[in-house]
Amino acid sequence: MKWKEWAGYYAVCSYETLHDSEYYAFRNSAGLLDVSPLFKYRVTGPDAAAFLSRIMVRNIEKLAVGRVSYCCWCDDYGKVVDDGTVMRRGEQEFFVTSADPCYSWFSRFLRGYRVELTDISDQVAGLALQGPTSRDILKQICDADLDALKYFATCKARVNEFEIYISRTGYTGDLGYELWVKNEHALKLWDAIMAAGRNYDIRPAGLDALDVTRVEAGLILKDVDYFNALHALIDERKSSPYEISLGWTVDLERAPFNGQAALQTEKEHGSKWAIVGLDINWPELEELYYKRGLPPVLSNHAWRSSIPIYTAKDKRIQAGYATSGTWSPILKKNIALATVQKQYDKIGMELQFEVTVEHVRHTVSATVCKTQFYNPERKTSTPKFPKS
Amino acid sequence: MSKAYDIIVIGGGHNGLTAAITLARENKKVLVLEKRSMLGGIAAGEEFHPGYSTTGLLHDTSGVRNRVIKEFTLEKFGLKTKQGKPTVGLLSKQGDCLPLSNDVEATAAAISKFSAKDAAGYRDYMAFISAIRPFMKNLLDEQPPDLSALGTKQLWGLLKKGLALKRLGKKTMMEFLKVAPMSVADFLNEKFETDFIKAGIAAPALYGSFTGPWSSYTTLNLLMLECLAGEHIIGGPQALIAALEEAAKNAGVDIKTNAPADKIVLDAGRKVSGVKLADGETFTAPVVASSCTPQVTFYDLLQPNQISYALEHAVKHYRSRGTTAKVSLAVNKAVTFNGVGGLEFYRTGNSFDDMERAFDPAKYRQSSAEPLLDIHVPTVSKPNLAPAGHSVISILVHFAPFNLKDGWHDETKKKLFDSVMKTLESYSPGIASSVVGSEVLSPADLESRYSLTNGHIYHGEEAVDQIITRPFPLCAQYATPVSGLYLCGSGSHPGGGITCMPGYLGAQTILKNC
Repeated sequence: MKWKEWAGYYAVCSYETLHDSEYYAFRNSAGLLDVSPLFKYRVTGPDAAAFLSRIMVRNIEKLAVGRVSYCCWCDDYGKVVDDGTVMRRGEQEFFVTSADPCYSWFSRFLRGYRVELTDISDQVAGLALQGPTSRDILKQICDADLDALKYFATCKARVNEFEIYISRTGYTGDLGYELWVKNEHALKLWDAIMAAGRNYDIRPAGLDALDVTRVEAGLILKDVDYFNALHALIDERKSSPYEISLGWTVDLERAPFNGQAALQTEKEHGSKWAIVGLDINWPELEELYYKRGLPPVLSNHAWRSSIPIYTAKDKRIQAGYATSGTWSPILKKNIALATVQKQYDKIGMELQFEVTVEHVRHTVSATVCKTQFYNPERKTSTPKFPKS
Repeated sequence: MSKAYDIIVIGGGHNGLTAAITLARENKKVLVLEKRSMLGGIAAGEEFHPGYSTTGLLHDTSGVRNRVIKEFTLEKFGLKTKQGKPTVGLLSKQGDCLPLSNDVEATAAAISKFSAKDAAGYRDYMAFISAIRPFMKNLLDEQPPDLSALGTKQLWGLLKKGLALKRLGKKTMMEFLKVAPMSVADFLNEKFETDFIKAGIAAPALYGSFTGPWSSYTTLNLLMLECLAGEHIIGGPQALIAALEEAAKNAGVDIKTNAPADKIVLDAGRKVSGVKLADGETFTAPVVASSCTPQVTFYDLLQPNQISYALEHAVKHYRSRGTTAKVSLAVNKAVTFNGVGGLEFYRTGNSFDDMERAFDPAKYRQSSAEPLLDIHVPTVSKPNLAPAGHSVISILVHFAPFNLKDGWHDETKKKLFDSVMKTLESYSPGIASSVVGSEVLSPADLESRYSLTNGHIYHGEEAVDQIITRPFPLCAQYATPVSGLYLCGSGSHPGGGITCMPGYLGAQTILKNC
């Protein structure tokens, strides 16, 4: 079992020596992951939606009760502070998750709004149940109508004597749920899920397996693929939502919100950077190793270091840098997420990816593709509402 | 029905009216919105007891700039001025009253009765004031230097100010650089030895500040007030407002009283498009000039999501802790203080220790037991403010903190009134029995009546970090981050008091930009 620090907690990297079986559980059966170290906030009151709309790039006033929104929030200059989910549990009640502690940031905007903002990070535990059999497992232990719970929907449910909130969200890019429960019931919930999942090949899963799945799903990670603008030491490290593939979350045409003017300007004049997917050419890589009499070497973990990306035409011109990547076992592809200058973000474009073989730098070609490398239909489908 | 204007000015005080006239004289269509039924704000005369009126919340009109009076030809609209500051009687607890007049020699002669050293010190002090006056005027009567972006233009502006400083000559320049950051007590202790004279000269430096005489940089406040005092207005602030109102009407300004602004309206592009009144009536204009405090302008007149975090933060940390209350007395006789009558102004102070003791409780949210009094007897020059033979005494009381621990209500106001009367009684025995009517305005009352945030009479403390880049660097050039919104009140350069300069310079900026 391996551990690492996550937001002040010890979190499991893998329950076994290698995370492979946990990865396959996410993709073929179900994995159960403790996501309690996420920061969690409750926002309530008559102006809760207006307050969150002022902070978030999305118009939270339009979010229906029972729906979840993935979004990010910006500083005055339209640079991303953090990303997370906003769940509307009631007309005047929201639940927000974030990667960084954001109470201080959110609370700066309380003036003038009739809202109560509470940091409930250490009162509520989070469990991510992810994988193709997750729905069937969850059905065994709770009373929610899961066949009707759509992608990015949330509902309350009863498990034995306690209540939980279910949101059909996750960080694996697969069918899955995140379960939010008061601390005192967290262990009982874990045990109930593990017991119910026995016949569905459930496994406890750690962050190493998650990391592979999130790259396959094209989901970005703060401090890896981008930096919190409030923590960035230099302006160049700050990114707008458009630059980190979250442009689709920005709703400009509405009441003022943090960063609106800057984002409007950027939308009109174009962004400098873009996050793209890279499909790294396998035969070329194999060839490089073969020439040195070696079998191709790949990290058995997802990696998160900065790798230079060059233009196809001229290997002296740097187009950008890859920030994380992995061998995708399910796709049988060597993939990466990269930040490239805007002119190199067109799907199908050829770029050069730097590799070091036997201490010597080389490049192999890589094709620009969608960040969502893996996107199974089950991720978004709902049995009760089949697509017509 | 809404009517389109070029510029809407919020607030019909001296700065709002000055801004409106400046703009209208350049053929702009201007509307002034005043929440009260009368114009003037803190410069408006008020009947506080049937038959008894003051000439304004503030008294001092010697800061009104000659430039404004001349440019607006206010004499044509009935304004009468008299050269120099009006004579003030400095009161001591020992029963003395020293007339501090505009005539340096006469004042020195009067001082020499107490101390020959102080008489020489006063000549020396006034010579220093005269010497640095050109520099202070350059600093405070022009557009504030833009320190946010130091390009060629801004550096040139700074260079000019630097040259004005250098032109003082080495001795005066070095003296100025030495004394400006000093506490007013340390500064005056170098020149004077008689306690009540030092205290009386120093007192105005503390008005509207959150400082005692031993606080650093209070000398700078004193020097600013001394240097910028020119002529004063006969009839007080009220007379200034009457002339400004006539000048405004003459220039074609539309004035609407009983018109409290509820919100500044922004269009979809976050640009100013007009002002909505509390009753829902809306006036459109692409430019709004607010003479309200920065807090009222940004916090009350805009929605919270219409200002950036940087602005939110700046407003939040702009210091304006009101420490002034107002007591107006209707008195059934002619009044004297320490036996001297016939003066329009008197000041208490007595000693630096007494002044510091008056300030101390403000830090702990308590009122002074023996407050510092800035006394105005307007009936001396304008007897018709009261029935024949009667007097009005209008007193600015320092220090009465806005955030009084016990809160401001009838009981705490009564306590304040009693402390004022007790202090007054020692200078004018038997006065209490002559009082036929009175009004006490706590900082909380000043806030509700005049929209002064925290009851601060100058729209924010004139601390060294809140002058020049006033109110804060983000809005120090009258323009604000909200497109089309300008500041033109005492919260802007060169600050509070009745000077008309924020309104004048703010309007100049608008004319330059629009």
